[in-house]
Amino acid sequence: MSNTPLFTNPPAPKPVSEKVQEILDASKAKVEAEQAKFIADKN
Amino acid sequence: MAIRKFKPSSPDKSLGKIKGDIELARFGHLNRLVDDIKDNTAPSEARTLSYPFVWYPESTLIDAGPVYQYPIGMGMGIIPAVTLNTYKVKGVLSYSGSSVISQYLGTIKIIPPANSFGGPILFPGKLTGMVAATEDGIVFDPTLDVTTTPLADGAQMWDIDAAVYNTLYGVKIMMYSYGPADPDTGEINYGLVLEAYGAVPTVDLATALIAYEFEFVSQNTSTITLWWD
Repeated sequence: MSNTPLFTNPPAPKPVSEKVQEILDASKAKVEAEQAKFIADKN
Repeated sequence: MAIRKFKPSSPDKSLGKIKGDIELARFGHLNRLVDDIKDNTAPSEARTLSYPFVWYPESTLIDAGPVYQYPIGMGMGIIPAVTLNTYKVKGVLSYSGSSVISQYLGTIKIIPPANSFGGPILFPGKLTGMVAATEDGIVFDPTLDVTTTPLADGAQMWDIDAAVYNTLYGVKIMMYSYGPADPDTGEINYGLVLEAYGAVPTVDLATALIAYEFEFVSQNTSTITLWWD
């Protein structure tokens, strides 16, 4: 039996406003910093 | 015993007197299910249902109704008890990307009641969900096990390139404020963002299906909507 794609018709990402893009950029930078701190603390 | 299709004969007491588009749509849906069940009388790997299944539902706001009454302004004698409604933002996210997750889910717009007197307009409910991952990730294979974990620290997503599970930490849904309330309408907006990071800082392609249910409570006199900004 051949494998079936999990999403046969995945929707394209919807565009977001400049305001949301600002939020996401700041969010990603914050999460990256959290990850770096987590790894530093673990080591 | 064979399953018979439904016939929209009239009158049909069980279906009421009015047969509009909704009733006809229900007949179509039920009869399609009958066909599907007839075609799949024995379990098989190819067993499928042909009615449309919506993958990847977007965030949806659900008003689950009032939960309890909460007296505010006690002692002032001017503010009656208010009813608090429960609201839920639900959806499923198909995630593929790095081990740093920052996903926009929509924006909650709240117009608080005029008598909120600067008190809280939003109370916590609960945050639940499930992260589902398989050891293949991109392609669904029914022979593979599926790992399901709560949407919380310790959730597992699959790192396709490294071929290992990556444990998620810092799992939360942030409500990022758009700024001060609109001076005319009192409107307040919060961008909902699902955040988490993997314990392993890989830029490999990680993947999981993430179902989320973000529940909160607000006065029933608030006007609350969810919109995509």
